[in-house]
Amino acid sequence: MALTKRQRARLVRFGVYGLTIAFLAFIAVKADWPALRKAFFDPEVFADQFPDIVIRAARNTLIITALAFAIALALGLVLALMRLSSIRPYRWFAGIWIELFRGIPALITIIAVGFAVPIALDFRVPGRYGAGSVAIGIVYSAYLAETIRAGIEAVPRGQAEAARSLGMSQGRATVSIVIPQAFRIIIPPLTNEFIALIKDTSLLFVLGTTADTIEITKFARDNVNKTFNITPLVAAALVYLAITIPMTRLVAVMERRAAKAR
Amino acid sequence: MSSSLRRILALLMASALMFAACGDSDSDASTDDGSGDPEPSGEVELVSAGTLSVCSDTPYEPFEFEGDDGEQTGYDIDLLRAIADENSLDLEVIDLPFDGILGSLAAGDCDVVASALSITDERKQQVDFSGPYFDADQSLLIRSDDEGTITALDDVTGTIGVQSGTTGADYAEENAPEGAEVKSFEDADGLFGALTSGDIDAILQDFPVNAFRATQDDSFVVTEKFPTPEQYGFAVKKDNPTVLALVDDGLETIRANGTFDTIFQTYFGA
Repeated sequence: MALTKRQRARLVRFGVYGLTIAFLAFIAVKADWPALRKAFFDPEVFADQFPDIVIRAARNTLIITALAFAIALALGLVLALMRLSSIRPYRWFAGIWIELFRGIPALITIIAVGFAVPIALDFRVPGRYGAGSVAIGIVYSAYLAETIRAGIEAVPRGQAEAARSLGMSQGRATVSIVIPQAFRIIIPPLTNEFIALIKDTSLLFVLGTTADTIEITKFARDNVNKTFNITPLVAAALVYLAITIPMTRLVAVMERRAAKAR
Repeated sequence: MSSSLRRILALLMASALMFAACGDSDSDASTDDGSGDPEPSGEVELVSAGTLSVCSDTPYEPFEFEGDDGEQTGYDIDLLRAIADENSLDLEVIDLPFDGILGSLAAGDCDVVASALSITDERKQQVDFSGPYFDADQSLLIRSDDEGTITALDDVTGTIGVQSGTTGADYAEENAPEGAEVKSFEDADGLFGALTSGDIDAILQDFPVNAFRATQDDSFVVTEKFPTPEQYGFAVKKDNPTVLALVDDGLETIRANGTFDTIFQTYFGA
């Protein structure tokens, strides 16, 4: 049968809507809701998670995230500039660093910084959040270096040339003119990295946790084992979302403002 | 036929397959068979027919670790292997982190948990235990360099390392001296690594495990032993009388025929 384009489109849409509704209805009917609620969302267990999950666990997660991201940003910027440098050893060093820490699982890097380095070099990162933040900072410096480099390269050459022709030194031109514009360009990927970093703090359990440094995922897992119930993990997931979603909203606002400025 | 019609048909077929798959997942996990076994003790409901599946946190010498031949061995594993042999079953060992290992029974990952597991009332709420097979003590492991300064738990001023979810962790939380911090690790390897690196100053865990490590590694020494009334037991899923009976009867059999003593001597003989 020959259908017009519009009829075909309507048929497809109808089919998709119909299937979606059928699927949801199927789930609604077949799912064992009381059992699901008991296993995943026991109200008593859920309520028990607060306020500790926020006051202790989320606080530690945020502190570690802030420290790690600061380290990653600083290192990443240096590495990006090294990658773009005309001095070959700088380019090599940065290239090797980036390949190494992008190519190795974050967990291995964390274990190396937390155990291998102290054992081999008798050097431990000071501070209770030290080893964890440094490890994650190192891992993400590799990703951020590439992101920042892309941002710097995306700034039109004319900017640097104009700055030079106004009498600025190369360094001044880079710092005052190119880098700020580069950062404005890379806000979306930077947000992605930041959110990924927040979640990678969940790997820090391998370094051992004390009552003061426990982060969200370990906190939830401990409670899962204590209560024999998965609800704490649901609570943890919601806490993570409560952190990351406002972040993406904030960044969207920043992006819009940055776009207006252009 | 037209491409959009083809697309609709494809969608329909995919969802039909999906519904069929979802329908099957309703079936009970516990009806997984073991009923094909020629069991003298009647039909035993095993996770995997013909095999006794064991969940354990390895390595945890001398209770469970990989032997030179690549097979899992150790006091716990050898006992269960003897029990499995008595029942003409194979033995399969699944390595899981200790923290939360009891959940694997409810999840249907294995029949028994054998991981130097102390019998406690709290755990009895979640699982059923076999009769006890080992008397447990806790102990304190330190670096040999600290042998002069640390002789007892109360001497520790820095950090005490423990493994998450263990009775040792509970003991440390309750008895750690003022000013000392308790740090939980996922597994024994992390603990030993942290002691070597200086991250922690002492490890509080089962005496046999600390003692075994001290014999392997001169840089560690056991400085204190805490006798406890704790005993190890094998854990099985709640309300699973056939597997529980298999383990308990097996333990009784191997005690009677001397296998139990032989295995004990292998690992703890003087």
